[in-house]
Amino acid sequence: MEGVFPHEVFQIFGIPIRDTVLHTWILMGAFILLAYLFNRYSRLRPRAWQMPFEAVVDFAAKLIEDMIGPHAERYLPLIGTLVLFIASTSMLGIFPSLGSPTRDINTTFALAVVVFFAVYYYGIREHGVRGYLKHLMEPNVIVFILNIIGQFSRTLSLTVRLFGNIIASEMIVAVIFVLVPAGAAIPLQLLGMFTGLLQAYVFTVLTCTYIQSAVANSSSNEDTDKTQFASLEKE
Amino acid sequence: MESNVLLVVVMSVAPLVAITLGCILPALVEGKAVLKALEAMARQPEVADEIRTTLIVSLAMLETTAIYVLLVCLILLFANPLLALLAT
Repeated sequence: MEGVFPHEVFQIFGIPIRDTVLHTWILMGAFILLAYLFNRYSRLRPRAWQMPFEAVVDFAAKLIEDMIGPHAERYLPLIGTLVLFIASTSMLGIFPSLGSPTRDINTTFALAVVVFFAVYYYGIREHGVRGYLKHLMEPNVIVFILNIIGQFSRTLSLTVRLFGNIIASEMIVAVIFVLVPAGAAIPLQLLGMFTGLLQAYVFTVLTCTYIQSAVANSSSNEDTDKTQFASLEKE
Repeated sequence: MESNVLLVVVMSVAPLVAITLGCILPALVEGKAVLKALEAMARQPEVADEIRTTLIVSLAMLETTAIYVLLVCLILLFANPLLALLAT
């Protein structure tokens, strides 16, 4: 049971390093190495090993196009990294003696803070500082306060959702393992894998929704309405 | 001494009650949401993909309430601030 919670492994200059941080570093190293190798050895005419990588990129790009709209290449670095990182960290929990880093609330909080600032970044990049403030105040000033509160509360809910799901599935596995040591925990671990992948998807879809609401242009919506009306009239 | 025992009993029963209610209600509501989504998908299979995305997002939102309850229960069980009162 004690192994479920993150624990301190060693200290660097008096800063305690938990095992979750260590696993995150290992994963980051693996990803950087993979990205380097992929960039170096990928070809325009792909070989078989290149396909899974391209499938992941395609998945993220299609998700962005469905949720945010055009200019998928702007959001692909953030969204793709979130998908890959959360999915792989959640999968890490199935190996014995390795826990998934997302069972530490600090990891998920860091991810949610990244999303929090990314929303502002993309919003300001799309509308400019003044335009984005105006966008937050639509249709009147009272909504501005609600928007700000909403941005903090959804950071909290992103944090707690991922953390709660992962730690719940790991804790169930630990409890069953204490009660019945041999093999009984395997179906629950599969369930935990499924939960992890689903949570990676949900986290990313919600990030896309938040970015979409930040970059959404009210005037361009009117344009699409007009074009829809025009096409209806043609029919 | 008596009051300490009472406090421990209350603090171990309270998470049980909370997690029971906090699982039943979101489960019922999520079932309702899935039911409606499936009905809509059966009626209009051509928009099934859009419905599925919206369904997953809204299920995540509903799930959050249950997760909040879980978080409160975890705090009560493992990191209870009231236990400091018990020690003094």
